[in-house]
Amino acid sequence: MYTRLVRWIDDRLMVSPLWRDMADHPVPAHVNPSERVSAFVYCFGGVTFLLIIAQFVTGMFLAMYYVPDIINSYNSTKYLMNHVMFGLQLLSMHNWGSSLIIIMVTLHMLRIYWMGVYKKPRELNWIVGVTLLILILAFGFTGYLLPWDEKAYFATQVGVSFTKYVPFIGPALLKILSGGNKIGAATLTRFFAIHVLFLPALLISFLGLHFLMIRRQGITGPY
Amino acid sequence: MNDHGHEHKAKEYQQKGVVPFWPEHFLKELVVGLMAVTVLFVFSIFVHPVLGHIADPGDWAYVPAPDWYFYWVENFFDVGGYYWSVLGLVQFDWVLMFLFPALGIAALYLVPFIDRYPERRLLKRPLMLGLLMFGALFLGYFTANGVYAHSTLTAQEPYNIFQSGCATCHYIQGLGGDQTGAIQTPTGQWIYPPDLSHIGSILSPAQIQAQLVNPKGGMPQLSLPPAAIKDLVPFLSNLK
Ligand code: HEM
Repeated sequence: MYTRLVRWIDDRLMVSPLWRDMADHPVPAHVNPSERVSAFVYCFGGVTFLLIIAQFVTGMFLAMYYVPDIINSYNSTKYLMNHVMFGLQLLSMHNWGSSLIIIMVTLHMLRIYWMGVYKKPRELNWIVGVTLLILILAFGFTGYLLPWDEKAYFATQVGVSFTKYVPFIGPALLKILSGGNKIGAATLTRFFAIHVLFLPALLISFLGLHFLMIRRQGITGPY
Repeated sequence: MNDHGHEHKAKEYQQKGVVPFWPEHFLKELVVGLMAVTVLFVFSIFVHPVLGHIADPGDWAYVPAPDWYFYWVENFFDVGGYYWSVLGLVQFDWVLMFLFPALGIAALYLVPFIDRYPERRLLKRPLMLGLLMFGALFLGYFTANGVYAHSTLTAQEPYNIFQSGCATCHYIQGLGGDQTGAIQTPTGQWIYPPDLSHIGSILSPAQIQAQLVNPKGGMPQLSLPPAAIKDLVPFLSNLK
């Protein structure tokens, strides 16, 4: 039954070769944590990726309750924390998950640096990697504003104010980022859109590049 | 691919010391990932983020704090800004606030091109080892310093609020206070704002809070922001 279904689809779309290509591509045994425990250092990237997926899932559920305006973002967050079943669990996972991702991505980067993995031919993947790091940090920064409590408001005020020092375009940049002359309703909707639409789109694109390059170049061997 | 092909491939992989991505590699890596997600799940059952008071742009008493991984940014700019003004470089603010960070980010992007060593072992790449240690010390120092500065500021905060909000009329331990707050009753008597040096043993925290939110006995409505009240109540309650 199953094989017939696959064959039926294959007759039309030929997905098997794609799948085989991915499934069979050889991964060196030395990166497998069940071969050697010390190989767990090769897992940091994968762990980061899984945590990002968890972050997407918890974020999607949070978005069912969150209302991005200056009165309701606070109130809807409070409601979620106090009255929604598993709401507090969801919010906590999304909150701590962001910290865990920062830790994991740092460890991943340390492995790449430590082992000199970014050397030829992997220079471009390091560059994609640094972009991923910046995107992750941007997620953290924009997400911090969303509950719209005092911590959120004033930390964002400080953070955003740094952009005004960019030569020439600084003041314009500051205005674009905060949607006006001060942190307010426009900043909140802006940060919300960046956090849930712009950044995920960018992150997925760059993750795609990252994985394509890894697939093309293979995992670096031992020294 | 048929079963025969699989066996053939398995042998070939074994000889080369590799495993197929699916399922051998993927599932084992998934196990490691799921351990991390489980830690996150269990941790989140017990520890929750706190939601503060709703944002009040007029709250002058609030001491902002970034998320933990941004402390170093804020503190670097704080400390740097201090020395910048000591050195009289204020008109070159953009060097500190833009050029340095931009160079830092550029250096991070260019790591593969800075590292010209043919060797991959870190110990054989002294410059890269040095840069790594510099980076770790840099982040560590400014993070620790930022956390420390923030806790000092928050500890200092109630006293500052008292100075700017209360000390015009009241005094504590002989400091502050003058005749500004004195009021004359219809019978011609003068009432002076009381000395608050021992207010903690006279009023309970709840009574202090009530007086701040809704002043009685001639004290004006100060419309203190919530963060100021939150800081002042324990501060005053401790004056025993
Ligand atoms: C969103 C964050 C990231 C994710 C999800 C991610 C994911 C991964 C994964 C799954 C691998 C396979 C090998 C391994 O896990 O170690 C990998 C490899 C790699 N990553 Fe990342 N990564 C991220 C960020 C970064 C960063 C910040 C850098 C460096 C600046 C970087 C540089 C690299 C390089 C150079 C490789 C090739 C490894 C090799 O050939 O052995 N990645 N990444």
